[in-house]
Amino acid sequence: MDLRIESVCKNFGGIQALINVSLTIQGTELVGMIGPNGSGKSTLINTIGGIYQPNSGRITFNGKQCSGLKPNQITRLGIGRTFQVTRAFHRMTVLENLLVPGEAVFPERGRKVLEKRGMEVLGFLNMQHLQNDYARNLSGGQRKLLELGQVLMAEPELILLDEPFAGVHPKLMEVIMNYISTLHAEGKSFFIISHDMTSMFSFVKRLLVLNYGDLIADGDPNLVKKDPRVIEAYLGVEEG
Amino acid sequence: MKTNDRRTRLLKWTSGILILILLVVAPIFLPDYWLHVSIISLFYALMASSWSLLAGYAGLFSLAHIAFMGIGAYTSGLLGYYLGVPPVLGIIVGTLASGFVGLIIGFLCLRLKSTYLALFTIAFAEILRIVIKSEHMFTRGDKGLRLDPIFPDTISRVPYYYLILALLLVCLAFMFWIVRSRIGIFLRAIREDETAAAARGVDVVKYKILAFIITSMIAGLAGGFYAHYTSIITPNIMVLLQMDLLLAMAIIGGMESLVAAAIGGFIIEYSLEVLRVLEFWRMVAFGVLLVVTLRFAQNGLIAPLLNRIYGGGPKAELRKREEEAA
Amino acid sequence: MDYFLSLVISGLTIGIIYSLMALGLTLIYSILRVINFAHGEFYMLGGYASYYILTAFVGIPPLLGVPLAGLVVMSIGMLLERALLRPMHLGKIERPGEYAILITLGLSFVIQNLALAIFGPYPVRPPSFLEGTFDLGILKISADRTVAAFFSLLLLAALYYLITYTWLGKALRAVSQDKDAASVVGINQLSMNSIAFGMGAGLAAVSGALLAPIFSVIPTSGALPGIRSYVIVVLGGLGSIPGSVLGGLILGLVENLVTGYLPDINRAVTYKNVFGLIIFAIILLVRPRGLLGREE
Repeated sequence: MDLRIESVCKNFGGIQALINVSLTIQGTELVGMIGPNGSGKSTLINTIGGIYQPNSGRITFNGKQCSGLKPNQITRLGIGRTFQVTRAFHRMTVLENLLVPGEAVFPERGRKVLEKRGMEVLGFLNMQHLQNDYARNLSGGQRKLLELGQVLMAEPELILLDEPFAGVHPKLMEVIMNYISTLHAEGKSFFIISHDMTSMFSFVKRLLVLNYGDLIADGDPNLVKKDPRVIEAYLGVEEG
Repeated sequence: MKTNDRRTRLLKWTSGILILILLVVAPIFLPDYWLHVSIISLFYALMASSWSLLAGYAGLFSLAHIAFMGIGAYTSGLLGYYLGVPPVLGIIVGTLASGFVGLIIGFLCLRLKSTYLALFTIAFAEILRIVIKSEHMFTRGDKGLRLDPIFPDTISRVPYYYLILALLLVCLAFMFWIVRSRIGIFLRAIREDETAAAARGVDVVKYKILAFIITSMIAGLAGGFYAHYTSIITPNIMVLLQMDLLLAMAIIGGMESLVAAAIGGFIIEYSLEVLRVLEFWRMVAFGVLLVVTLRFAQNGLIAPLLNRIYGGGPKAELRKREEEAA
Repeated sequence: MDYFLSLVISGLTIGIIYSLMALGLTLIYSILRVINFAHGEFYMLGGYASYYILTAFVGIPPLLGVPLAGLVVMSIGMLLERALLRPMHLGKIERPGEYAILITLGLSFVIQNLALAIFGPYPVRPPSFLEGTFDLGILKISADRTVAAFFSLLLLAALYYLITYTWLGKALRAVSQDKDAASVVGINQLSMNSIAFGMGAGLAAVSGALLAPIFSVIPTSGALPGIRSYVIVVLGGLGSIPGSVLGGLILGLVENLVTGYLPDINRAVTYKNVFGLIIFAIILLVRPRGLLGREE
């Protein structure tokens, strides 16, 4: 797994959301990204995910150019993503929600095989009993897990999580973190955006900090925590 | 639970077969006028169910469905009038022509959000209607284009009845197959949330255009049949008020269910004939029914009824839970 | 040159009346974020309202029928908004986006057929505002059209004053810019919705009443003006008031000029409405926010 973001810039009208962002994620990594609100974190995910095209710079994944591709093509390449505000298909059942990415990415496997796979994914998430429930009847937490299930159905190598812990009950946060750890141990890479710094510092192995489009730190969370530029970005003053 | 499912399936099959038998033997009992009404009603069932595939499943609220019907009708009609093309061939070409235009319109509409899609399709439909009306030297305009009947050797309506019944059943079967296949799942996902669908790997462009092509072809086919059954067409078949009526049929039936929409089309057209004495008030009645349905029963009136009898649908799972809890 | 000028003047006079109707649609869109697919039907009701008012109260000057018709239809509009659109804003409707389109389409269907049932399919024509024609040398323009155009100008001026200087106008502008901020300062959104919808319907009705003596009224006479108002609003920019006025004038000009200069007279007349539609379709595809609209 090799994701390279090379000098990517993205502006909206007069606003520069991403300024020459460069980073590489290789092998099996558990990377976090934090930054003040509005610093461009979601924009970066949306750009990797194909919703936005970079104004300059490029993104390659496993050697293939992916800046310029449509979101569905990027999913097929092996990058999965969740949304900050969970997006599920409300008037479809939980199983059908999983069949969408299944049929989209692996149509050759056939419905029966994909349904079986879907049940396995539900089993992993402890949601098998919900298979025929309509997504809109699920609780917020269950929907978050459903979205993760949808991502897993596409069998990605890299998973982008956009604020997975936002507004989430601490118990559920633990549950989600456990799932992430398990999947990471199985070889999946994660790129997690969060502004819940405390959990990020201890959870991820590598931390990036984005400050209004500028990537100002990239490395060991303990070192990043103490980086004066990072502290200034968050608090506006230098810690004496 | 298992016996419930088995019972439901038995119910579905027996009622389906009964209705089929009824439809097949109907011409024996029906006087000529009511046979005609049945034919037109089956035509509307076909139009309503194909529109429901586009709007209710894919979420594309196109108001050009009647226009595609018109393309099928006029393509076949003009080919027959000027080049002597036999009706069956004309209908086939008309169907393909509608599909082709459907592809173009689908492509143009890709980035249009629902309101803009509605407006654009209205514009397209009206432009087409006005052009056909204005080029009356070519199309015969309001005077009407005369067409050859499909079955020239008989004055009986019976063959037409069986033809439209066959077309309806074949198209419904085809649309059912689509809905059950991955195309159906993708279309519903697109309607729910296009962005999410794309993120989950769905080629939104391809499937939106596909939805347009399929439904416009069916509308074109229906139009071709209608043209060669009534033997005369004018641009008035494509007027916006007719599209509104079609909308009413699909919505009152239940636009998220092919069968409910088809039944809606059939019943409403039949009722319009039965209530002929009321003249314009019958349209008012259905208009009011449409508004009331939209306001209080967004899933339609017939679809929930079908769900109650046969199970399935969004409330079924909740009801099952309540029963289990009790 | 004279011919050109005469086309321009007749284009502008009809255009200003179109603008009035389009303004109504823009108002509804700005406040309720809904395209009123029944807008044409309010135009038609305006025509019928002025006819029946003037028939019932024989003595009054015909021009008075216009604002009265506007008020009648405005009330009808407000009632319909409360019954059918308010639930949307109260969260009682699933899929409000789709609902808005379908319910106004349904309303269009009901109103047209109701008119057919009640008034019958035969045209009615309210009395002229002013008989005769004005001879301006280069062109003869009917007195009715002139009166209608002047009335429209006056009404537009009055609306400008209303929107810019009165509390109501400011409240409407506030809601159109930011609903939540407006409610924070105490503006009742739901009332504004009803008022805006009523005003929009009323403006369409006024256009209908102004053109009724010229074109007469039948139940389906709202269909084309309705479509025309969508064209104008998209051309001028959804949500832009100056855009609607500009768009109306432009459309009036385009229709008249193209019709006037097209070599084939027969085609020119029947295709009159197509030009606007083609421009409309192109704008929707290329620049949906029109000439002056804001980015969505």
